[in-house]
Amino acid sequence: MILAKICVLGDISVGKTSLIRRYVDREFSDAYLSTVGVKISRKFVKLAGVHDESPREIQMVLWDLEGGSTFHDVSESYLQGAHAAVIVGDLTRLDTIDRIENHLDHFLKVNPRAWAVVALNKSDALAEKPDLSSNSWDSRKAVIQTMCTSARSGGGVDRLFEEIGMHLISEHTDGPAR
Amino acid sequence: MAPQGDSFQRRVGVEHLLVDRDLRIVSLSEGAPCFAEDPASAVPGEDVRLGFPEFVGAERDLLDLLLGQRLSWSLTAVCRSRVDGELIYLDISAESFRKSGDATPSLVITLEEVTMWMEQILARTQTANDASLLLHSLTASKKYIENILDAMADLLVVTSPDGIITSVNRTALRLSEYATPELLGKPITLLVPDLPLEPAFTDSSHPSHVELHCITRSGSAVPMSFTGALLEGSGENPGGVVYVGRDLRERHEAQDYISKLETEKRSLQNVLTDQGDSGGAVWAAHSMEQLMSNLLKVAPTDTTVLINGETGTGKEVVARAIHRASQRQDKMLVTVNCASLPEGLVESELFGHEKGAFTGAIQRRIGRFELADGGTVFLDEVGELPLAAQSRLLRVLQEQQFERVGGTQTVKVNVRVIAATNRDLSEEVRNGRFREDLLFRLNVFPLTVAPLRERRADIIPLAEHFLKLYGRRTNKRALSIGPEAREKLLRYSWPGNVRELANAIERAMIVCEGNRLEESDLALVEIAQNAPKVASNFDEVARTHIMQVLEECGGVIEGANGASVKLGLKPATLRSRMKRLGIARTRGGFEAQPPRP
Repeated sequence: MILAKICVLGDISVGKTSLIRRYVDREFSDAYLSTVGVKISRKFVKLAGVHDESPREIQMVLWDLEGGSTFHDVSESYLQGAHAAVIVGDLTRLDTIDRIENHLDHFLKVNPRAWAVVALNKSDALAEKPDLSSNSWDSRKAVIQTMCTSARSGGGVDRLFEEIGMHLISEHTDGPAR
Repeated sequence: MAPQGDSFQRRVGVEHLLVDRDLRIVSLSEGAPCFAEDPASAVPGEDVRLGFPEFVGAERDLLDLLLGQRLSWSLTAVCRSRVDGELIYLDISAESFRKSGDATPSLVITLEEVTMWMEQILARTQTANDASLLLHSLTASKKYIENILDAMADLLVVTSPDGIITSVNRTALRLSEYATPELLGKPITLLVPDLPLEPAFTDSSHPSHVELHCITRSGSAVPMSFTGALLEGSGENPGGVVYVGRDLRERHEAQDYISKLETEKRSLQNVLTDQGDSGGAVWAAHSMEQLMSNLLKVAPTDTTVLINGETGTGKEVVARAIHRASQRQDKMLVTVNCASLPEGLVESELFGHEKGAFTGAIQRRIGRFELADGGTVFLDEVGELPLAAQSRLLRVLQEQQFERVGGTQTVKVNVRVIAATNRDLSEEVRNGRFREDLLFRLNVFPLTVAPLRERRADIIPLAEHFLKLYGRRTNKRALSIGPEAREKLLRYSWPGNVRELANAIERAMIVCEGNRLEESDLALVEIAQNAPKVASNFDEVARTHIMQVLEECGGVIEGANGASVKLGLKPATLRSRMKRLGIARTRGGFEAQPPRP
């Protein structure tokens, strides 16, 4: 079994907790409860890798960090030892997307060999599909994928975590990708 | 520092896990599975990460902890679902722990549920952001205080009012050899069985130290000095008692060492005193009476004394007598034979050296002057000092301060200097071998010890003194000196002075077969013949000759058998000559008096 610690970071109220609830508990609630500190959830999945016919068991431990904490010393203790991160931005609040790179830098400072997936959440609230062709973090080697998600509708959520799972399998098969 | 109560009621429950280096559970406290996400996985032998997901990703940090590369690992306010779906908040910490006899250390993991504490934070704040601010402020403050307490060299144990341990610092764990879970919840008397629990001990207005033993996990008793202070409770905080203990082992070792050194010092002082007594001042001669009278006058002062005299006359005995009659008698008399010091090491011996001052100076060493601080330094054969050391000695005499060889720090001392020489230092000054200014400094109060041939009245008392002294050593206590042996002793010129007399008596006692030293026991003639003494000037020749004639005549000056007839002088002339040459009548005969200082 592959054990992986995945940290979910982003500004306050971008939908980090909702993304995890949608993926782990298959639930969504409009009632907003801000996370204080960190909340840990666990998800067992079976996935087959790109070159691997037999599915592999993965245990993802998801660390839902409070949004926009100014206590970097404390959050660093939560980030330590993470294999990967999901950096979440809110498509309806562009300032949260502008700060994605800040969260990425903070995460990579603690875990320089880790990697990340960017989730642009609340895509259901947009009438048109956003243009993701020119993001500032695209050039960063640590970012393996940028995806639009909707915790409300569930759109892109499973695909987001499957992408992470596939990357974990390939890492375990080929060694660390980066 | 292990978690403890504060103004918020935090201690809802604390559980522990013992985990091996493969992160498998070795043992766990009874309530620990309740904190697990999956209680079925929280059993011995299982991977701790199955029941407790917060350890996923922490493998490297925990390994570093086991390898001693980090001291602690902790997470604060981690929220997670329990098996019943309820959310719990946990403070989690890990520390390395090696049981006595275990080859490898294990990890002790402490899980403290802080759900109520978090609920109180949330209840006291309006928004999640405020709650977060309060949580992290409290956490940072707690960590800050814990780091300070853990850095303390003293043991610190906090107990509830009824003496149950609620918190310990890292020194307490190191000293006691226990792990945190083995102490928390246990009575303080587990660590300190004799600790007084009465209120008077913890009265902070009258803090008192109590020396007690802390009993370690392996059963050793560590001597410690304890103080106690009451922690006043407020609201939901019941308060308690904080005990601070200081390890006294090093202090006791130092005290033992000091005590041993003091014993050694007393013993050495006794040896020195015994030596002083054995070679102590014994005299009958008038010249020595005068010398001792001057000695007693100068001894109580701090005046520098220069003792002149031929080899073997007893200059060191005089120096020791000055020290013993001085106010410094309880301090050291440090004797330095300047002639015996290797030339390259004279300054190092006298003034000490710093580490690395020269090849072989592997550690700092204090010199004789520093050793004698408060006491007396006796510089025997001072005329042999090299010129470089003479200039440094001059500074010590003038300013009572010097620098160690290779050092820059000035060392101040309070030392009295007594010097001795058998050389004519004025002559040495003229020849450029001795500093004139140093001679002036040393020659403040000169004392001259006359050679034995000039104080014949001392010969028999000294011989009898040595007879007693060596009698104790050789177990021949009843020995006396026969009349012919006495005659022989008095006739001899004693070029080696008192030292030669002592040696002659010691030898005679060995060869003596009866209870009385006979003339034949004294091997003096040969020595005297082999080493005739050449007088240094005409006055000395005249003085010696007149004294011999006076003794042959039994001290009679006038008349047909008087010395004046034998010498071909008028009695008045002889008396005038005797006065000029310093020849004085004593109980035992005549002797030459040294010039007055």
